[in-house]
Amino acid sequence: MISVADLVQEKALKGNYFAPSAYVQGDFELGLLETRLGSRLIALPEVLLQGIYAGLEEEIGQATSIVLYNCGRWWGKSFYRRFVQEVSEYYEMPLAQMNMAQFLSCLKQCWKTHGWGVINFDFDYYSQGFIVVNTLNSPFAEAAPKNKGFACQPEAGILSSFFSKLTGEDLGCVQLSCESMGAPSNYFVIGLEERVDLAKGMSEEGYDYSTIMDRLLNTNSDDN
Amino acid sequence: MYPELQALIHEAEFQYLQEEDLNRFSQEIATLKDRIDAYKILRDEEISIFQGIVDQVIAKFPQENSQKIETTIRHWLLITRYSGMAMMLNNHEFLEHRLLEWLTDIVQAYESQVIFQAIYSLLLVKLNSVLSEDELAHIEPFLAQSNNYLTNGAILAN
Repeated sequence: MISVADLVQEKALKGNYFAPSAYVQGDFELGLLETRLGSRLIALPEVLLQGIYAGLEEEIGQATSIVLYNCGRWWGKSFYRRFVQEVSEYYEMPLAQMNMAQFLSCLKQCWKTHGWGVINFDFDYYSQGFIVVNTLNSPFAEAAPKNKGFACQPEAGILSSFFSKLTGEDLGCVQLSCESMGAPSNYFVIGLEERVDLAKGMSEEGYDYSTIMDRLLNTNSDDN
Repeated sequence: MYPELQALIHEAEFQYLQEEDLNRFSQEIATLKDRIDAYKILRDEEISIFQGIVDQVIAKFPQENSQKIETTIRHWLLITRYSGMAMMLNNHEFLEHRLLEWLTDIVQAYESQVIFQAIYSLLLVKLNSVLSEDELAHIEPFLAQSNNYLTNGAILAN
């Protein structure tokens, strides 16, 4: 017997916390853009992002990608904490009670509303230890110099620390294709550092996404 | 909110609104009363409408896991409430952004499409008996939008 009266009362029925018209608020008189919980948001002009790429390239050259990756890792740690706090508060349930589809749907909407493009997750290789992530319209790939190598290290960093926190394992993330190099979207693979290291080498040598994934999966099954 | 009204407000930044615009404005306001009436019925009758549907679904799918039916009913309660608000605002985008985009993956991961569709059909039959013809005409496009989006549109949306 299902009682609708109980269903309506026992648990809050709520929609998309990250809907842009609800999530982005502001105290406009004080020049503040804020989230619906009052955390500050700022809009970065594209030219500033271009300047960051150009400035880093000039000052530290090849080390740019590792610096950006580490910036992303820092960002990802507090992003995870804030995301989990906001989502569990709004839906009135701890993370452990939330189903995976709801959690990922919130993350996708959050990503989109912050203007970081569209993100999708592929868990087909989860049992082999990998999560594949795809992003489209990355602001980083767009601001980076074209055809000068992969450019979404901030995203790779944020994904590595977000999923490390989520799974409790120390995970790395490697980009496998990039819009700044003419690819239709950006692919990333997340997994244990030592397992995704192979992907790093192959992507630097210019192998494409599917070849690298095949190799990762084969190496993985050889290890077993 | 109110895409039609917003378009008129935007237009009025450049010039006084013309007769045709003002007629559209009056029409929006004139139908608002009906939409609010329909909203009140959906709000006040929520439990009785859905309890009847639950009982029919259980009778129709006696083998089905009751947790699954409960989740799907929960989602249709949510869809109907958001559709009611979207109807008052006459705004399909409101419904898409505030609910459907987010709900799609959740519905597809955990629900049986057969039960989802069965609840939709039963809901329309039920609303036909509690709402007037005009009131039903106001809410129906938003429920149809939800049903299409969550069962077919999601493939396109990805």
